Amino acid sequence: MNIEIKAIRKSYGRKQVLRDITLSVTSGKCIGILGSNGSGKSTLLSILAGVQSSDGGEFLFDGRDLFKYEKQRALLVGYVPQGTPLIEELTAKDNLFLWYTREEMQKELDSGILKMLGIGDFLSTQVSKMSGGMKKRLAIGCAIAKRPPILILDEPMAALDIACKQSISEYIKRHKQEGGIVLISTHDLIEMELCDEQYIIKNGVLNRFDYKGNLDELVKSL
Amino acid sequence: MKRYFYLQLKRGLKVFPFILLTALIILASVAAIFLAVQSRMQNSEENQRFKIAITGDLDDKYSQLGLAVLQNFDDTRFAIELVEMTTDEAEAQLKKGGISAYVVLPENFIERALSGDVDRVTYVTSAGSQNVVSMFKNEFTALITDMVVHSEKGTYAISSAVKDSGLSGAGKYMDELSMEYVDLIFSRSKVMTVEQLGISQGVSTTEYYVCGLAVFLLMLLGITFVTMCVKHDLSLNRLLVSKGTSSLAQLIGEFAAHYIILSLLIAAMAAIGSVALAIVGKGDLLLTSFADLLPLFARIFVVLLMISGFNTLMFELSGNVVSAVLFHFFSTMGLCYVSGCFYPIYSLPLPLQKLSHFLPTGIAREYLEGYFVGDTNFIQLVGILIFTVAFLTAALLIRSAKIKSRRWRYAKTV
Repeated sequence: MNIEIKAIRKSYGRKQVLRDITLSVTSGKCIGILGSNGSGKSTLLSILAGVQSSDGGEFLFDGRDLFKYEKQRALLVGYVPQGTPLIEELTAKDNLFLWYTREEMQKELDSGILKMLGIGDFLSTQVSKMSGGMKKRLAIGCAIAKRPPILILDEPMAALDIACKQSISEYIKRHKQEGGIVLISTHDLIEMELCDEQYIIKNGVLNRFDYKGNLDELVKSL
Repeated sequence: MKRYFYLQLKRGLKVFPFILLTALIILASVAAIFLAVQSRMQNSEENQRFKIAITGDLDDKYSQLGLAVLQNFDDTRFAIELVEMTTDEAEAQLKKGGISAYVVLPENFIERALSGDVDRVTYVTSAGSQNVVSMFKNEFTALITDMVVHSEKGTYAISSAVKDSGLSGAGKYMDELSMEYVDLIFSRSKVMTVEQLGISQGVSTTEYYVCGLAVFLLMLLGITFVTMCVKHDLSLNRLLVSKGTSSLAQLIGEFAAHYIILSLLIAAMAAIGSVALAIVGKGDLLLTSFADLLPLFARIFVVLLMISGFNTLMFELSGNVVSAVLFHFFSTMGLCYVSGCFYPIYSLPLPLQKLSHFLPTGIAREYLEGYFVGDTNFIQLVGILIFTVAFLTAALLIRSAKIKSRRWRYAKTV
């Protein structure tokens, strides 16, 4: 299983945000995409997730362009956007019900991903009364319903505590071990350590960056 | 989409008590304001008499007699108070608003009238009072002038002819003729009857206001949904799009849930209102029996479709609760005002009267009026459906743009 991103372009008015973004990822890899605020990281991820369209380019999954096969893309890609993709007035269980059948939910809560994320502990809690970490874990739990092989995470650990970050890290590691592919937009050093390859988007261009723990070098590159 | 709709409905039912409470507070506030204004207007109308000054040549004893007769016997005494003053005083009073108008009797008015040659009296009013009332006053003044001049001319012509022909005992007939004339003047109110054919589509004033204010209140209730429906974080909508639930499907799910909750709210408020009226012993205020009201409720639920669409658009246009409340309130006020929901439509300028037939609130008001006059209002029904679709289409365009917008992506993070 592999994905290929070929020559993706995107402009907002006259401003070209993405210029011929090209990338190839094989099974079991996690790719980190870095960049300063407004550099185009989230735009690239939302294009791959099908939230917005590109001005050109391809998103190939085992040779098949997912931009042309919307239903397949929806099944193959799990997307965690920034923010809280949850209904605040309802409980965790209600929110999960939007993405899982009752049987699927029970199975995942008993021995699956939802158990690993610890969602069973706050199943009956209303979202508006949850902490940021609980909300993010629940959001990931919702996004990975049906176990999509490609995970696209837009700054998943932003403003979370260490315990919560660890829980999400564990899940990402397990997803890689199971042969899945992960694309992360990040500013977080813990997330960067999870990544097998790092890329930086600058002026709309994607370039490979090998992060070796030197923060000054990273800041200069952004 | 089915699950999204179900969850939106569940969400709405969860916050329903809060929505109902807010709606009752709004309704109570509007009712209190309406009753206060109505009572004030009623009092001022009851106490109000138009004050008209009589100026000019008033030295003649017949002028004094005429004024006394008008003040004590004529029907106008209930609506008009006549006061004597000089022309300069009257002009000053008119400028200050102390009087509504003044009438100038020309020099030797009575003397000349007695000889059958009467000048026209002058009626002076301020520019701001050129309304239907002053128009009637002008007509009234002209009527008196013309009738006095021409009738008196006729009376004196006959009198002269009788004298010239040397007939004896004609004075008695002349007196009778004059009395007939005076009686005619005093009983002129019996000559005409005012009948009201109705304001719009033939509905009575009360029915018109019931429909107009119902549309206003139904629109206003959208504000109670603001905290629930205004989105400041579209990440769920982005996730839904990513998972194959389009913006259109999301919007229809939200619209359907909103429509059901709004309908429940109206039903609950109607029930609470009926019980409250019965408790305070004012059950007779209900227009008719519950069974007869069902067709009216059916029309209200049709109108609610359009209002739900309008609310959906308003919520989509606003980025936060405060702007949503203000935007919704002022849009509602503006639309309802221009559509004649607060004042009879004929009181608005002609272009606005024509425009109201094409505005959503104007169409909704006319559709509700159909209940009272037994009209199906098919055109208005089509208009309501067209506006519902138009509002949802506009909301869809905005939602799609927001989902793709960079600004909205960074609106809120955990």
